[in-house]
Amino acid sequence: MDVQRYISSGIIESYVAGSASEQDVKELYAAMAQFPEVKAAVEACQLDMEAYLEIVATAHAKPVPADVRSRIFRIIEDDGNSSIESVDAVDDKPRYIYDETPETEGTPVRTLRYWQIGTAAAIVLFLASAAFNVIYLNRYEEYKGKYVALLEENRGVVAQNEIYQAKFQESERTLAMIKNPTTRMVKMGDVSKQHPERLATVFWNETSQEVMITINNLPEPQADQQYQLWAIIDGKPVDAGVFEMGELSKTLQKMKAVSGEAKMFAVTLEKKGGSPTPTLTQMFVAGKVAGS
Amino acid sequence: MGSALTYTEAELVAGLRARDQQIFGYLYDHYAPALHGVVLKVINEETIASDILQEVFLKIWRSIEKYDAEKGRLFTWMLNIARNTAIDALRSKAYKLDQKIQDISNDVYSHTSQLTVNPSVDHLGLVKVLERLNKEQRVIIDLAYFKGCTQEEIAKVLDIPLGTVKTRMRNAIIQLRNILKQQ
Repeated sequence: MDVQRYISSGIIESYVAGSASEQDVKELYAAMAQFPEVKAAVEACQLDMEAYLEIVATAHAKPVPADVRSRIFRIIEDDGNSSIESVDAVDDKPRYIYDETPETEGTPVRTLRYWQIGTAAAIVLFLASAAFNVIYLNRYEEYKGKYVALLEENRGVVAQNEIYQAKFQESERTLAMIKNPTTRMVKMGDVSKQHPERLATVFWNETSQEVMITINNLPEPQADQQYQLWAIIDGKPVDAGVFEMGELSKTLQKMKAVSGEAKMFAVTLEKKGGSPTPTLTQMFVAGKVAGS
Repeated sequence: MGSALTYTEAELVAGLRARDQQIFGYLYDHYAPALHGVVLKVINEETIASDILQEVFLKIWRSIEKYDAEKGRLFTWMLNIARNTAIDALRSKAYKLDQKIQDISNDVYSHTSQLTVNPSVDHLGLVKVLERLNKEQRVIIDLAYFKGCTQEEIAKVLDIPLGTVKTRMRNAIIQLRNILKQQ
């Protein structure tokens, strides 16, 4: 830094007169700390301004309204009576423009500021922390509740899943059976020739002896009656079991295994639980096994 | 007023520290007009100036322990208190620039006053000292020193570029220094 140039820049005079910017003041303090000649120049200038202040004050001296004196004395007598040792901070240093905040009596503002800020910050942080604790505790309770609900739900889902899996495996098996080329489909039509809409279908695999039935259209029986499937083997009806109507009728219902060479399948209406021999007058639908 | 006694600054300080109200009265009677003058330089309103002056004397009375004779004269110390208190009051009133400087340009150093501060100083001589500063130089110093104006405000009031405010301030104070040296 060119010290002489800095000294003659006018920063020092602006500072002492009180109009230097905050930036200039910072710079000047640094320069004063580093260069004794800058410090000396500042001090010389301060003496000039103090001399000026004295001259102006003296030249401007003006009588004071009489009541001011008595007001002041009343106050200092009160001070004395209450024997309060005053701790007022007097502001006797030259005032510079960067001191934006008027000094408060009795309060050493600048020395307090940092710990005040620190304390304030600590309080704010503590309050924020406390608030977050409350919020998070509430959230924790909320999430705990949700977690339990989810566990319950999950348990339900798992159980349902097991059911679906079982059903799916069943369906897969059924489908595999139907798709099996050795499985034969037997369409059973109306026997009376008066109800052509009556129809049921049997799937039969001779090798595995499995039998499945799906009802395309049969009238609902009375409560004490049930349809029964018969396989006709060697001219004789063999019981293949009863099946359900209603919703289940549309699905594939597994029937009793049929061993032997069935030529035909037929459905009769029997008493609930089935009969050992078919009631031939109550035969609804029947169909021949293709290729036999 | 009218005390036959005269005190040195050291005696005044000792008396104030001893809470001697008679000494304080003497101090008031001899210095109040000058401190009043400083306050009026900053805020040219009589009623406000009276209140500020009261505050100034209370500060002097209550804070005399803080005065350090090695750092300067008692008078200078009191003048700084007066100027600082007045500038703080000026700022706290948040005057607009026009309001706070309205008296600066027609400021004339010809107040008649009862000078009791320093009998060896000739009042007219002081006025002449001030008159040897040209008006522009006086105004730029006073805008900063008594009106608390920033450089930007000074540039605006004097209608000069911001960049020249510092050099003008330097020239004004150098001129002041030369005048003071010739005293």
